[in-house]
Amino acid sequence: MNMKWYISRRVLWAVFATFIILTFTFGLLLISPNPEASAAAFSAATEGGDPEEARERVAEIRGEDRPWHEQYVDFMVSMFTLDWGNSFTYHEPVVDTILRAYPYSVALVVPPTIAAIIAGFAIGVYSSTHQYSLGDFLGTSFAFFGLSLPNFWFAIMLMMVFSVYLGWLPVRYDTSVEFWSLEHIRYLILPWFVIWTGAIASEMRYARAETLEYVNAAWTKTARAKGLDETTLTYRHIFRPALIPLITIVIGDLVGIIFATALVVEVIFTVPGLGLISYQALVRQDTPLVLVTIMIPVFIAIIGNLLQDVAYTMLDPRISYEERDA
Amino acid sequence: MPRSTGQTLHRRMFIVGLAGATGVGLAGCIGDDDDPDVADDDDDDDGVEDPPEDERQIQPEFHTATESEATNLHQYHINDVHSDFRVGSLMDGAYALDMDDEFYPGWVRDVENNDNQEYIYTLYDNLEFGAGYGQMTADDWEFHWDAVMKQAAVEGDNWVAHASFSDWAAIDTLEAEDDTTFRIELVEPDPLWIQTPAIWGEYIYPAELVEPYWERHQDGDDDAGIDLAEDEEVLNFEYTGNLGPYEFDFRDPEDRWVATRNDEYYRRGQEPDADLWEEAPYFEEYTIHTIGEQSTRMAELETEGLSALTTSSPIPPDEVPVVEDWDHINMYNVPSPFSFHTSYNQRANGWEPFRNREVRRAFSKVIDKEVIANDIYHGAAEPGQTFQPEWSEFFESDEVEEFGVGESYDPEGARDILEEELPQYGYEYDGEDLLDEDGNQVELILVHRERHSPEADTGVYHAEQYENHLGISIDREQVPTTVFFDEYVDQEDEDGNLLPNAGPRDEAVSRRDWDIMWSLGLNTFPRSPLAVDIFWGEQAAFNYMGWHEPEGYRIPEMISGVGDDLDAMREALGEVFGLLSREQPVNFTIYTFDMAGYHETVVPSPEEQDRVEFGWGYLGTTWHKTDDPFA
Repeated sequence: MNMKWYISRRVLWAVFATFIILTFTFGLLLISPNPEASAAAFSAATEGGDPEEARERVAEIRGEDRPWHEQYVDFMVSMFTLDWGNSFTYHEPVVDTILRAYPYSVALVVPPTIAAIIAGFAIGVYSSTHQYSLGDFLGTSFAFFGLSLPNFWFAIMLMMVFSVYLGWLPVRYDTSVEFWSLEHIRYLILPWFVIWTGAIASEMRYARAETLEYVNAAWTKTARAKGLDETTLTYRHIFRPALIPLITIVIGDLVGIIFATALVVEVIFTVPGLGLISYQALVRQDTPLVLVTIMIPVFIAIIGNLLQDVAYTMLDPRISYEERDA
Repeated sequence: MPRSTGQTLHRRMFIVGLAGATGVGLAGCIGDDDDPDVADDDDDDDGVEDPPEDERQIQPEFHTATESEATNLHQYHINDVHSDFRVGSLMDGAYALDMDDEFYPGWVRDVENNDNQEYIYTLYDNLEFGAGYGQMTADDWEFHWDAVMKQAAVEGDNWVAHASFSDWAAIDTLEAEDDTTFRIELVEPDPLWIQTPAIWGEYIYPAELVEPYWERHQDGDDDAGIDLAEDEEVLNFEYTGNLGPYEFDFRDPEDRWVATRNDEYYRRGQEPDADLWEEAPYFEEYTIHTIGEQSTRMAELETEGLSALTTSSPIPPDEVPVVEDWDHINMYNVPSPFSFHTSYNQRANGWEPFRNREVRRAFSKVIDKEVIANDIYHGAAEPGQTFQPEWSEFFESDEVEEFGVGESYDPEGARDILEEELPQYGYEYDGEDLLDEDGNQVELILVHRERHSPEADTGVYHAEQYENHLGISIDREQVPTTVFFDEYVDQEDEDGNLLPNAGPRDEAVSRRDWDIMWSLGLNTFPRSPLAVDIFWGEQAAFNYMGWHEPEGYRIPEMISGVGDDLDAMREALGEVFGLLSREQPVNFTIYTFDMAGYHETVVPSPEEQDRVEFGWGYLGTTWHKTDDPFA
């Protein structure tokens, strides 16, 4: 099997897997109680109206008064023809809602993710080359401290300290601030810090585990015996060979952040990004928006996995798909 | 109606005031009257025009927040307080009710009541729709009746999917007399018609906007109503013209709603209270932020990022002690008509002894309502005794029996009653514990929602009281709101419909078993409570707990025949509310307050500074700020 065939099959699999996941999600939404309908029915009952009529009214407004298979076919056709329709909640095309939210999520997630990769790798490599030293313990502790802190609590604490008591930073995000400005950064410092501390541990642990394998490798010892300085040794003989597995993690992270969300941080700092939008869509059973916000990340995640596999072959000549049967 | 979701509310609840700049639907105040920074407008005794003109300056911005986004932009579909709060800034509605429950002009400047059956409404003559639709006339109202409300309420053809039409069924005819006058003839006389949420607070579209869709519907097009809801002029509020204090600017979902001062606002300088309305509204820009997280809303209020948290997203009860310490925030304790109950399940899947009124009364005696109101709700609630708050003119204290306050909080008396009443059901006390026939301690299911911590704490308090004083083990279940309604409150009828009263109590039961239910809140409609039979009685649509009136009493009969005699109505309702208090179909545990917080620079109207009652905030559009902390 050559590479083209392999990639083609994987892309087809991505489409099929997305279809399955969308079907599953649609089914879950179909059988879940609809809070909007329940509330409308309750409201009608208390004013002497007909609760069932109220449920039907909500269903009619949402086009959910048709047989489920008609709804299903409609939604699937609209998903795969990219005609995603209007959001029930925001009364605008789903695409507009996503495109409006997208830049906020990118601004929120990309910088701390990149910073977490850099810092996490740095700490990880330092920890592996100074195993069981004070620095190793401190680095590991810091990483796990960030991972262990509940984002929700940590974000509120930071807000209380730096925004309410010290007054140094704004309480929450403000979309009216110029996007490309230093002022914008002021609004992002606290959310960035929360995301960064949460993300750094996994990068650090991966880097530490992978580089540890090469700390005591024969070539490392040889290089050290030949008098190579520690910085060069670490970079050339420890970090570089470890980079192959690490690069797949980096690619995964980078693909992830294309559509990444940080729901908790978005809720607390009121960033109207994709996480918040998707969450509200789920809560309100805004089916078109739910399906789209699920479909895109799922598809991207599967394609991301494919890119990881392809990256392996490019970085490590020992790996080949040419001779695989399936 | 349930306050439960925090989202969907009956129109009766949220249209308590005109669409106001500083807070639609506010009521009640414990503001700091002595605050030197708040304008002292009480200068009438000095003969000085009230308020001084220099204090009522137009400030650049007003910022408030709600916990949720507006989910309906189409006025016919609005059934949630957050949508109404936003749309209300653009549209005044027909009229408001003041703190005496009297008519206060909106688009309608006067109402004439002829024998309680014919009502003549007169519109201001300077009302203008936007988008070139011209003057709002009586013909628009006649069309609204003929094509929309009559279809939904009388003909059973709710083609626009209107969310609130049932009160319009009381109308026989609505006809335009001339450009600014329309006449309503009711099916039956009703002295409280003006207080009924039909015309009160109603929004309408220009007839010309709806007419094409109405014609399509008449031609058999089933999509006409849905297409109207997606009309660009509807979604962008192009039709609002000069009908509200602000004009729609833009909205960013889950972020903000921004409206700008309407330079052509029809109410400006009009009587009554022309001086208050002279330059109204008093803010150039009005912003409603969507801030879902409670901690963030409170932090914004504390750091002066918001001008106010209104009753649309009030200060949570557990934050009240904190806000009391903030010097820059005036907190307003707004009476609410919502009765929050502790219900006893008398249906077949409930505990059988709850069909015995003495047992219900005993359970109500062990709940100290003052503890809940003062210690758990921090003063954001007051004890309730029947399906009417004490401040209602329909509350007859002579008729009402109290439970859970003062000496009527009586755990020992409750235990004595149960020792006497329960053996007939096979239950007996052994020491402290109540045992069933098999010798096992009785365990009851207490269900409540998980909305906020005072509500959860009150659930815990109930469980402790029953366990400590009645020897009953409590299995406490805390559930999400949707589950609460669909699985516990509603029952399924034979067609699979979920209803609060799906049939006789021996047959229709909720999907999940429960015995005691805390946290359901119902609007008591203190302005026009004649609809009490919707909630209470064997046949009542909302009889989710399966209560039957005692022998010789039928609530629909008790209130029938009062006609348009207001005194007879008061007497009949007084007896009904007395009966409910004695029977304890539920324990009417508390009435909540909505705690609104305003920056100290926000100045209510003179009347609303001096007096705080239900309906407070009806002059919200005339409020101003003495200074602008955002400038």
